Amino acid sequence: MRHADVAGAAAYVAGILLIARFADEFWLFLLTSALITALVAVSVGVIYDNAGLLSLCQMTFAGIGAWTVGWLSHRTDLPFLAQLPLAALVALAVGVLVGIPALRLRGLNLAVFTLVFSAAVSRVIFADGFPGLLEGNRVRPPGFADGDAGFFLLVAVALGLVAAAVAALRRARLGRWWFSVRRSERAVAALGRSVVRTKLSAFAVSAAIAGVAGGLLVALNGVVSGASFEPLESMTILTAALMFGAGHFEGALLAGLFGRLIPNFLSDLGLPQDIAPMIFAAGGLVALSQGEGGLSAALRAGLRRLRSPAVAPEPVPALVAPTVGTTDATGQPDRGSSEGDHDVDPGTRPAKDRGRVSVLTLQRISVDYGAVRALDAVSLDVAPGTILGLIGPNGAGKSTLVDAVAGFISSHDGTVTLAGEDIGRLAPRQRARRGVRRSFQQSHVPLDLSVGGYLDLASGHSGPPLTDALAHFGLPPATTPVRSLDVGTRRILEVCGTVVSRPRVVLLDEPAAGLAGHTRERFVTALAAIPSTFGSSVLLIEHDLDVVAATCDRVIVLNFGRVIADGPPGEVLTHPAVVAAYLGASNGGAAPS
Amino acid sequence: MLTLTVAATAAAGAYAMLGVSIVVLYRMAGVVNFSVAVVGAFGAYTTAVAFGRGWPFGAAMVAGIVLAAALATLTGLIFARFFATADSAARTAAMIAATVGFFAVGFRIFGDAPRSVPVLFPGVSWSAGNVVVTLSSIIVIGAAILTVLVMRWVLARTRLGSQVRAMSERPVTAELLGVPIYARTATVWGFTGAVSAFGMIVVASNLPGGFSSLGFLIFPAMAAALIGAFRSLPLAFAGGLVVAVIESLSSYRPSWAEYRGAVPFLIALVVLLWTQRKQVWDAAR
Repeated sequence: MRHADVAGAAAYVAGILLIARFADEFWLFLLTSALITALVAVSVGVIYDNAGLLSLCQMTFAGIGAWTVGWLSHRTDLPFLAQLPLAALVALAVGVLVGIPALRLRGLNLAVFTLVFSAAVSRVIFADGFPGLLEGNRVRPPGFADGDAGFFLLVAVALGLVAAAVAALRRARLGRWWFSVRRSERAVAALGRSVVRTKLSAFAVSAAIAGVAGGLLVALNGVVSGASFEPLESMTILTAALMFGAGHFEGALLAGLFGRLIPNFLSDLGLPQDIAPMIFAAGGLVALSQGEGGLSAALRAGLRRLRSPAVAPEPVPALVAPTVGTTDATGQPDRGSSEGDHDVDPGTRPAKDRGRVSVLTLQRISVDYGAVRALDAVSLDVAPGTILGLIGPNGAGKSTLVDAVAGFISSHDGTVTLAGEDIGRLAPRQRARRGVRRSFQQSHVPLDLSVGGYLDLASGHSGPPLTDALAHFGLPPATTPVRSLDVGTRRILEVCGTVVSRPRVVLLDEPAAGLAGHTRERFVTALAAIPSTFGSSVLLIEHDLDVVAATCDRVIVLNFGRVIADGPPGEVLTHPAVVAAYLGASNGGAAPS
Repeated sequence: MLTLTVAATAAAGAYAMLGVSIVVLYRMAGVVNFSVAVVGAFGAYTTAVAFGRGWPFGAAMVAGIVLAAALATLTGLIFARFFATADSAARTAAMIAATVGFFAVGFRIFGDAPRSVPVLFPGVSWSAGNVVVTLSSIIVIGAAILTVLVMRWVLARTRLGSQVRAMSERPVTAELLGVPIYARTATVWGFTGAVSAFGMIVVASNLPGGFSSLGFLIFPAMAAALIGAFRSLPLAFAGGLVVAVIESLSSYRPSWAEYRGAVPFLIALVVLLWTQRKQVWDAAR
């Protein structure tokens, strides 16, 4: 893919230079405004394609950028190139202010709120005109870019720089968090990351990009009116971005080009220009019905198929330290320090929190869903360095218990204590940071990342030895895209993600479900070795009693929200009450084989 | 003392009706209908054009309502066919695309110059103090109340209600249970298209502006739906009235008038700050 990136960049530069050299005044103006529109489409790509959020006010942010540049050139002597970053900053600040009320809750609030926001700004601020407009003050581009070709090059460079920065962000941690929050907010919180901050950062970055576009637009036209920044304009450009897939640069570029060129072609054909939005609407609907990513994603997928019918795995890169270290002797989390890491034979590794009786203690946890009591005064201890199995029929309350411990149930009775600290009132991400990690019944691993990219997010900031963790779970090399993994391997990757940060406790919700044959055997071995290898204690929910018998030191059985048995696997699995709960009360005598 | 002009009471009726329509469709089809006002505008302008060509008012109005219902049904069938299992961001995005398409088609057919929409009951109005209410406003507000009551009953008590709620939450399961997806979709979308068009036709003569102004009634309507948290029909109805009343306060002083356009935003801001005091998680484990 890197070769393709270089080829794409070279094609962009060559195309820009050719246009700047040969195009006439009319085409230069048209193509300059197309590149500016492409910049707005890039901002849509960040907020929608990366973070999965719908903003209906991107042209309003562009208008705020235009307003800022207009004001600065009317009132100050600041050069244009200094005005542009300020336009971005103002748009970014407004983006943060608008985002805070809209992004704390999930769902459709952002779309609705940005819609009414854009209407308000358009009618109250933009309707009064832009600074300098009445006085006839035109915004001038800098001297070196004052000609049509010069300004076209300036816009092309700005677009190229922003696109390169966005591409770099997508590969960096922040961008990978955006992909993660698009996939699942719960999973992001379970990895110890603030969901609100993640969404807000994507929204603010996209606002800043749109702000730059607005600043360039006012310099292109000299003057602008509010009509360019109305709510319907934001919706139309969003629709074009959906059609072409603005998550990739070529998609944003096509959205900009067609957004400006189609109306032109239509009038050349003697057709009315206002058919263009109908084309985008139809194209956007078709693209959305085909799945994620629009035209650019479809093009890329087609290209990949053409080039390599069978995907050859890339070689494993050497990622940092050579050993899977364990914990330090003090029982403290060893994140951020490598002093405590030393090579010990797996069988004799000291477990984290050695010397404690219990690393995780639940006392009388009760959860009600309306009239249904999902958990009824459940108490349990997870001893350091052990695997505690939690079994029970469907609906027994197992997953509810995991939710309560991980912080996803806002109100429950009873206390949750982690290594002596009461964590029962903390948010999920705070619990995750203190060392409670969980997996989910359905994989929430973002498909747009690589295996290593995901594990890097999951591991926190210490950069632990990922290659050894991959080897421990028999996972493919770090560069493998998650999208190319089968569902079972994605689940194993998620389990690997819960332990790479060496948390005190991991809560695994049916991790072996759906695995079969050799993969399953290998995974069960890896599971059993989590305490000795990663120093984490495990609370394991599992339906498969063979897996429970092979891995657990102790087993607790839940039924209808209550603990009905507790003890070593051999005893518990043959306990009459357990057999009755699994096979029905009347069959109490039949023990499982 | 509260002053409500003819335009303000007409706006109150339109906002309430549109807000209620949005919530009905969200609960029954799981889609935020950004196109409800523009589809209603199709109904109102179709009525105006037909009336202008000499149709009797009743027939023109029926034509407008039928057209709006047909457009809404078409949208609904597209959603049921292609976006039943799409995630909520994709469904909302598709709704935006459809709305952009409706605006473009509307501009092409009707232009954006203001048209005179026939007045249903000219001159019939009452005033109490500083509040002036026309018969048409009362009819729309009454129709909105009736919609709230009927829809509450349908959602809670009827087989149709349970079927469409099942469809909106678990479309595949509902289909496997034998719910006639397309028929139910057509019913729900057609109904909301018809009632919102009815509301807009009746009060359109008292509302200013052209096709886009009617389509942009989506802003106050969304604020009304947000007051109802996209769940409560009575609150969405009340929200429509509240938005209209607060907007009319801006006529007290000339210096306030320019902030009229910000009223839906300010209301949405207050509602969001109030409702999000605790974090809520998505259902999927």
